[in-house]
Order: sequence, then C-alpha cells, then structure tokens
Amino acid sequence: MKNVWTLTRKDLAVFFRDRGAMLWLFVLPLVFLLIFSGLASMGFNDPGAEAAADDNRPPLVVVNLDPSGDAAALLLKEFDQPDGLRVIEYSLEEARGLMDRFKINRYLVISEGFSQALAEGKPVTLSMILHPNSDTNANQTVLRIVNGMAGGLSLELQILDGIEQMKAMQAANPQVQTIFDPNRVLAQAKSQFDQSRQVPLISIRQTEPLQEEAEKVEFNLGSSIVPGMTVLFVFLAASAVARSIFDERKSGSLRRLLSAPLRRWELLLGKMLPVFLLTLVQICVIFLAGAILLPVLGFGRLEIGNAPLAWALTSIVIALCATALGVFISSIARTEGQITGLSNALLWVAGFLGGAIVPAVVLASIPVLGILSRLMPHYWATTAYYDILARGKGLVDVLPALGILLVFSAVFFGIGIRRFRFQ
Amino acid sequence: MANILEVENLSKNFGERAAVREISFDVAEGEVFGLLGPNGAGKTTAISMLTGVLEPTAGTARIGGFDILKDPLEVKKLIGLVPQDLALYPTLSARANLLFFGSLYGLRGRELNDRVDDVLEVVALADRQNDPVDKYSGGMKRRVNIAAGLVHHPRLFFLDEPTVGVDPQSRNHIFESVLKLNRERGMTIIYTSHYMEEVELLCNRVAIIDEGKIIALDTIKNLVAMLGGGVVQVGLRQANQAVIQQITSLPAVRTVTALPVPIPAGAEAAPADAALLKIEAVHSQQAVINVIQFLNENNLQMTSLEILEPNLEGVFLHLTGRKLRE
Repeated sequence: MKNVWTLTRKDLAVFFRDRGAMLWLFVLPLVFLLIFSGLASMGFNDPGAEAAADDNRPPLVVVNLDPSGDAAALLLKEFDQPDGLRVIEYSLEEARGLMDRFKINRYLVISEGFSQALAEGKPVTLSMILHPNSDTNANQTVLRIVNGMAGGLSLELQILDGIEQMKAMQAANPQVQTIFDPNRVLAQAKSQFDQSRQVPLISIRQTEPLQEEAEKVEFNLGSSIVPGMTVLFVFLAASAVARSIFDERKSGSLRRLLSAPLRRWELLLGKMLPVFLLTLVQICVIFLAGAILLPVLGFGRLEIGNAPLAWALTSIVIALCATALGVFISSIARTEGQITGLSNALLWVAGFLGGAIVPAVVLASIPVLGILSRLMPHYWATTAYYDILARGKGLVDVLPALGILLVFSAVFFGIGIRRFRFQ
Repeated sequence: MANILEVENLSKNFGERAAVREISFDVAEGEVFGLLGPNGAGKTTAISMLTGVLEPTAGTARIGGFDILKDPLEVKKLIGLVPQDLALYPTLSARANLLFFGSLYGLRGRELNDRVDDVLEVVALADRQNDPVDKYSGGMKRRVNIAAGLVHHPRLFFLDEPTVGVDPQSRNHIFESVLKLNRERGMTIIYTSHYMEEVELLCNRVAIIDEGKIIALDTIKNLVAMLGGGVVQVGLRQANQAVIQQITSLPAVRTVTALPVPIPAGAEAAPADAALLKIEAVHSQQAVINVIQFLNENNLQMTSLEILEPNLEGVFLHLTGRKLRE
C-alpha cells in the first residue's frame, strides 16, 4: 500500500499545480450551483401575472375534478376573496404540463366526489402538489391561506351539519319542543366546532408531482439544487481518472511506472485514490457552499438531513462509482478526443437523464426518459441525496440506491480492469 | 565477468506482425552493450520486454539470476529504464520527480534525499533542481529523464534512444554521464540507438537488429572486420552474369553480389538491364581502380559508386543492403 500512497501523493501534487483542473473541480461546480439556484428561484412564473397586474393576491392554480359539486364551488369562492388567493383553474393535464415546464410552483387538486363526501359528512383531502424546486416560504404562505380557508369552510360545514341533524331530529319528533332550546343549539354548535378543530372535514396533503403515496415533504431550493449539481460534477471525476491515465500513457511515464517494482493493481489503485479523495473534498466544498452561500443569496438553505451518516456513506459510494467509471472510460477511450467526448456525454447527457440537471420526477412524466434515467448511475445518486436531504429519509431507506451504485461501480471497475491496456 | 542478462529466444508479436523474433544474447556485468538498428527494427519492443513493460509472446530472459516472467518484481528492483519519451511530470520540479521515482523503489527519508542529490550531481542539474521541469530546455529535460532512471542505483541500466532531439552539448553531456556511470560505478548499461556514432563511442559489444532479428552481434572491432578490406557498391546501367563473373575475377576483388536495384524517383520499376553490385574487396581502393578500368575497357556505363567506410553503418549496409537511417 506504500506504493499506492506514493502514487496518490504524486497525483495530488500534480493536481494542485494544475489551475485548470482546480477550476473544474471546485470553482465551476460552485458557479453552476449559483447560476442554477438563481435560475430556479426566478424560473417560476405566476400564471396570469400580466392579466392581473393590479392583483396582489398570491396566485393558486386549482384543478377542480368536482366541477359540479356545491362544496367545491363554495371552496373556490372562499379562496377567491379580496384577502385570499387569486384562483386560476386548469385541467389536470394543463397543470402538470405547466409544472413540468417550471411555469408554476404548485397546484391544488380538488378530488372527484369532494362535494358528495362532504355532504355525507365524510372527511376529504385536498392535494397540494409542490414542485421540488419551488420556494419553501412561498409554499408555506399559500398553504397557510389554503389551510385557513379550507378550515373555515370545514367548520362552517360541520356546524351546519350539526344544526341540520337537529333539524332532522325535530322533524322526526314533532311532539318534543325542547330540541330548539338555545342552550342545546349552542352546545351542539360548540361540539361541532371542537370536532372540526380536532378532526377537520377538509385536510390538505402536500406531495411532489407524480408521487403516489402521501407523505410530508419539506422542499427548499438548496436541498433540491445542490444534490443535482454535486452529482453532475462528481461524475466528472470519471474523466479526471481517464485523463490522468491517458496522460501517463501519452507522456511515457506509464512505461516507466510499469518498469518499477509495482504491482498492476497498485498502479491502478494509485491512479484512482487521488481522484476519489479529491471528489470527496469536492462534495464537501459544494455542500459547504450550499450551506453558506445559498442562504446569503436568498436561494434557500441546505441541510444534510437528519442522517449525516447516510449522507456521508452516500457521498463515499457516489465518489467510488465516479472513480470506477473513470477506469472504465480509460479502458475504452483510445484518444484524448474520445475521453473529452465521453466526459461531455457524462456531464450533460447522463447528467440530464439521471436527474442531476432537471429533477428526475419531471423526467419521469415522459415514459422513455423515465426508463432511461434509471439506467444512469446519476439517477440513483441524486435519488439517494434527495431522499436524505429533501425527504428526510435515513440510511436504511437509501440502501437500495447505494446498492445499485455499488453494482454500477463493480461493473465499471470489472470491465475497466479487464480491458485496461497496460502496454 | 558473470552475465547479468541472459536472453533466450525472446519474441513479441502484435497480432500478425512479429516485432521481435527469437532474439538471444548475453550481457556481462559491467559491460556497455549496444542495440543498434533503424527505427522500427524492434529495439524498443525488446527493451520493453526486458523491463517488464511488455509481456513476451515467447522466450524469456534472466536478469541478475531472476526470470523476467517468474520474478518480475525482483527483476524490476535491479533495473533502471530511461524511456525514449520524456517520462516526467512537467509541472513538478526535477527534485520532486526524482523523489517520487526513488520512493517507488522503497527509498525513504535521508537515503532518498542523498540519492536524489547524488543523481542531480551526475546529470549536473543540482542548481536548477527546484525549477519545474517544463521550464527546462530539451537537453535538461533529457538529463532529468536519465536521472529518474538512476535514482535507485540500478545494477542494469536501460537507455532507450536517450539522445533523440537533443542538442550537441547535451548529447555530449549524456555520453559523459553514461561512461562515468560505467567506469566509476561499474553499472551495466544497455544502450539502444539508431545513431551508429553513439554506439561506436559508448559500447563494448553491439547487437545489430533489423526487422525484429539480431543479424550480427560482436565487438565493434570484429563487426567492422566483417567488411574485410572494404566494401564497394557500384551501379551499372547494363550488366549481365558474364560481367559479374569478370568483375569477380579482377585483382583485389574478393566477392561480388548483385543487390536489388533501387527504383528511380518517378519511375514504376528499375531499368531491366541495370544492376547494383556489392563488391567485397581485399583492398577497397585498388578494387575501385580495377573495376573502373574494366568498365571503361568494356564500354559499360557506371551510374553510382560508393565506398563503404569501415564502420557500423557500413556493416549494416553490408548485412541488409540498406542504410541505418533509411
């Protein structure tokens, strides 16, 4: 292992004298992070903003799947108050399309049979679909208003329901005159009010697009952009490994190394380890910048979730996968041009398909891209990071994604070693 | 002297092409041994197999008693290689390069630093040791390239065309270093080159390699003696078997061989009657006089005349019919 460390120290020394490489590894990801965060924070347009320039109410896109329902109409009327929300109705397809194109942050879905369920006194749920890149503060504002108004309607309906029940009891027992006793009515109204507070008829669930199971998610721009940018640039480490091996071969130093008392696995490991270590440093730098710079610039806050161990392990596995990919590339690329081409393909094509540039949930709405994205290691890397950072999941939850990344690493490394041209 | 290197039927094929064909030779400890041949003759491939860079297709070799196939790591501890390329890290200083290569051989701490100081003295670069290599001239880079192969004090030192692209001053410096390493430290050196002058200057024995085969191996003195009294090449516009027999019978001529006639520039084939004769002479000057007199008397037109010098270039031409740098 001494030889591996000797090679590693040499490559690190060479790296730290290469300003271009430092730029690629540390500066460029930060520039991209800031640009993407800025774009994402500005990228959402208020629908109908031009049409209602004098209307300062927060906009709310509503998908009403219960268009003929009285309660649904009442709810929309409740929202569309001077101190409420500017309601804009779209069909479900239209709303999804607008969100896929980053045109809206969120939309509210009134489910089919909403009014009927309420009429029967059954609890109903409204779905608030939030874009992963949407601004948390704005989401919270809208959610507070929606919650308040839906809660008010819920209360009103439940009290009315209680009084309706009393009315029905009166009709059924005309000989009893005390049912409409004011104290009894007040007691019934108070009981309904308390029940409405504890078990509201109308509840709101937040979810991200196309996510079938209901779960509480906490989105912010930092936890949404940083993982993607990190994965995008970490996989550039693959080209760094390939280029480093190519340079050794081109300059003739590989020949000299092969004539030294080194085992071939030591040589390969010695070429991989420095890039692996640099990649881990790169991940830390990007996350540190995300945690410090993004809040300063008002682009949201980044936290590493509730499971720092899961985050650390995920980072290590991603760095390992990217480094193994480098050995694979070096075994198949015969010229500098091929390495550059593969690096660009990795950066942009695989990065895009793998959800490092556009969230995978958006790509999933296009069937072919949804399948393709799962074939990219980037997808599993971003999924693992999103799970930890945005969805509050832990180590056990991300183990499947990490397992798949380890399989990718083993395949890349296996093929790379098998095809590697030492000579 | 015991042999430090014993090569047995070493061959290397790249696909269908045989780059080295069953070469065998021994090198004694303390010897400076030359591998001379034109570009593409197989010198670098041979060196690459001996230094563990390439795996032989067939055959083997022993270095210091260790088989290159069975004990590659032990072999590699004994050897140093100066590749044809500048196998250095240009952004690092000469000293950093040497420290790195030295540490690959297990050298550490003071011993490593002392060795680096030593080789920097050998290549006369101690005063510029902390400059990045990419700031050096071509000749200085070549000297660092040599130092990198020396830092662990190898017993057998391979130099593969170490003077390619080097200015005359640096070339002389490299020659001096090689001779010094051999004479003062007893280092065994294998030196490949396609420059006849370098091999003649540095080497005790030479293997001439062409198309992957060793076509001659001996001391320079003995190789040159192959030319006997000299070799003359004469081109004739017209010649037949009778003319060749008559020339063979001239005084001072030992043998006459017809060589393939070169195709003139712009032509598709050599003239049908033309001939190129290689005349091995007892005495080259007397043979030339006799041949010219014979050609004049028989009204035969001469198109070229070349008297081969008694050197390795002449030996190569004598053996292959081609020049070393063709």
